Amino acid sequence: MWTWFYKLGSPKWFFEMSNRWQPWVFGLAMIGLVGGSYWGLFIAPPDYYQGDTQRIMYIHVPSAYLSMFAYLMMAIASAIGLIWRMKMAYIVSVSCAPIGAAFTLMALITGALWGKPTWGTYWEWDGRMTSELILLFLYIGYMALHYAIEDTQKADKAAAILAIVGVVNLPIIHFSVEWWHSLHQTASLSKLEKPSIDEAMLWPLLVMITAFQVFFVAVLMPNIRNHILWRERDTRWVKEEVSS
Amino acid sequence: MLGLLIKREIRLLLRRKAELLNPLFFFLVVTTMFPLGISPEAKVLSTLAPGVLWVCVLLSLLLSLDVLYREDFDDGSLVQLLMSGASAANIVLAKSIANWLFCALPLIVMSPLLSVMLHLPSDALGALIASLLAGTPVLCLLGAIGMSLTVGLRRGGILLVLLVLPLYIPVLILGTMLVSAASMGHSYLPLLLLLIAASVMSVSLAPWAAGAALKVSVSE
Amino acid sequence: MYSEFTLKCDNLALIRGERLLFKQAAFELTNRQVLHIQGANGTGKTSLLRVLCGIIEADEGELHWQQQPIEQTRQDFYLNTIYLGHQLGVKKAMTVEENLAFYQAMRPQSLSVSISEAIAQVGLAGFEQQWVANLSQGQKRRVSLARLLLESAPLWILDEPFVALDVKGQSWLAQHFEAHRERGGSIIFTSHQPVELACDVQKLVIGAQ
Repeated sequence: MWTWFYKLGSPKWFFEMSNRWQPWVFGLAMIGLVGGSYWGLFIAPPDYYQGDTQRIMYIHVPSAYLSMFAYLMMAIASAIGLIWRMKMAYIVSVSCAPIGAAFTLMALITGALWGKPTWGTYWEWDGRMTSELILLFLYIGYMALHYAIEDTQKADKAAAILAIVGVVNLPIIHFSVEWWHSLHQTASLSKLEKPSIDEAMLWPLLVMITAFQVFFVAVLMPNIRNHILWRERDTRWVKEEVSS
Repeated sequence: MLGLLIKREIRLLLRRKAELLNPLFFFLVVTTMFPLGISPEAKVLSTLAPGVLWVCVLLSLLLSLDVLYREDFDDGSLVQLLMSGASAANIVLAKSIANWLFCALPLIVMSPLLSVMLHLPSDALGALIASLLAGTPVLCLLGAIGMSLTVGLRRGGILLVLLVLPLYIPVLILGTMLVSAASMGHSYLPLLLLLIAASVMSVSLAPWAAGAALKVSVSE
Repeated sequence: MYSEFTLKCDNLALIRGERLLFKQAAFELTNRQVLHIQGANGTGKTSLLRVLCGIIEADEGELHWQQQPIEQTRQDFYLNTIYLGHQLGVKKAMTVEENLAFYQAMRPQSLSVSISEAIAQVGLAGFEQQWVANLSQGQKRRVSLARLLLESAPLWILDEPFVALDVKGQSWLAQHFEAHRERGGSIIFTSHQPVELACDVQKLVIGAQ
C-alpha cells in the first residue's frame, strides 16, 4: 500500500504508467460516450412533458456531476499536497482545474440550451444553474491565483489553500442558493422535478455519467503529463524523453 | 499575546485615519449610484435597499483589508510577527478583530443613514443592523483569507475581489433575506441565528486557513 | 545565562527558479559560537538565513533544533531566536519606543536593560518619542539593533548587520557580539565586508561551485 503511494508520488513513474494506459482509457471513454449517446438519443423514450428536448439531459447532468467531482478531486489532491508535501498531488490538483472549469462551462451552456425551450429563456436564476455559475467563479479564482504567483511551489500551496477553503464553502453556497431560489421561485417547472426518473432513461444516463468519468481521466492524464514535463524539464529523464 | 497583537493593530489603524475613512466614503458613493442608475422612486428603492446595502458593505469591507496587511508585508513586520512565537492564526485573528472594530463597525453605524436614503422601511432598520452585526465577522475573516493569499502580489487587488466575492455569497443571501423578511413583517430570528452560526464557524476555521496562507505569502 | 541549545544543519540545498543557489551547506552550532556565512553576491546568503528561520523551504537537507527535526520544534526555535533581515520590521507609524516595547512584550523573557537605556546605547538618545518614519536608514537599523539589547534570545540570526552603520556603530556591534557570547549566546551572520571580532569565528562559504 505504502510503496504504491510512494510510487504514485514519483512524477517519472506516473509519466510512464499513464503513457502506457492512455490509449486504453481514451478508447474506453470513446466507446462509452458513443454508446451512451446512441442509447440516450435514439433508444431511450422521449420525455412525456418535454419531448426530445429532454435528451440534452444526457450531456447536461454528467457535465454538472463532473464539474463538482473535479473540484472535489482538486481539493483532495490539494490537501494531500499540503499534508504530505507531495509534488505529484499539486500537479494533479492544478491539472484538474481547467478540465473542471470546462465541464462547468459545458453544464452552463447545455443548461441554457435546455432552458430556452423549457423556460422560454436561456438564463433563469434557477438554484442549480446559479450554483454552477458560482462554481465557475471558484474555478476561475483558483486558476487566476495560481497564474498570478510566479514561484511554482508558492503558487501550488496558495492555490491548494484556496481549493480547500472553496470545498468547505461549496455545500454552504449550494444550499444557500437553493434556498434563496426556493423563496424567490416563480412559476417555472424545474428540469428534473419528477421524483423518480424512469428506468429506461436512468440506464443511459448512468452509462453517460460513467463514460464522462472515464473521459475525465483520459483528458486529465495528458494534462498531468504536460505539467510533469514542464516542471521536471531540468531532470535527465525528461531530457531523454524529449530527445527520443 | 492576542491582546498585544490586537493593541498593535488598533494603534496602527488609528494612525492612518485617512485610510480608515476611505471605505466609509466608498460606501456612501457607491450606494448613491443606485438611485441615480435605477430610479429615485421610493417603491423601487425600498425593495432593492437590503441587497444594495449588503453588497456595498461587503465591497467596502473588501477595500478595507489592504491597510492591515500590505505595509506589514512590505516592511518585514509580517516575518517578525510570524517569528515572534505568536501563532499565524492569532496574527490573522488580531487583524480581523481590528478590521471588524474599526472598519465594519463604522460601516454599520453609517448604514441607517444610507437606509433612509434608499427608503428602507423603518421597521426593517433594526433587522438591517442586526444582520450586519451578525454577518460582518464572516466577511472580515473570509476577506482575511483572500488578503493573506494575495498580499505578496503587486497587483493583488482585483484578484482579491475575484477570490473572495464568491465565498461571500451565502452571507449576502442570508443577510438580504433577513432584511427583506423584516421589511415584510416576518420573523427573522432563525436567519439571524444562522448568520451567527456562520460567524462562529468562520472564527474557528478561517484563522487557520489564513494563517497558513500568510506563511506561504511571506516565503520568498 | 542562556541554557544549552544546538542547531544542526545538514546538506542544505536551495534552488531558485532554474538556478542552484547552494548545495551541501552544513554546520553545527551551540552556545558561545559565531558563524559567519560568506559567499559572492547572489549565492543565497540571505536565502540560507531565511531557510534557517523557516520562512522558505530548502529543496534538500535537514535542520535540527535541540536534536529534533525543526518542523516539530519551530515555536521553541522562534522563542530562542532573533532574526534581523534586510527588511527591519520596524513600523514607521510607531515611535522608536513603541516599536521596541512591542517586540519586547512579545517575548516571554527580556534582558535587564530598560528601553531608554537600550535606545541610548545604540546612540538614539532623545529620539525615544520620534516617529520611525522621520529617521534615516542608519537610524532605523539602530532601532532594530536595539532589540538585541532588550530581548532574551540565545540565537541571533543577522543579515548584513554591519551595513549602514558608521565605524563607531560597527565597533559597538562587534563589542556587543562579545557580550552576547559571554551570556552563552550564539550568532549567525552574513557580511560582505571583513569583520574584526575578538572571538573565534566559524566560516561557512556557500555557493554552487
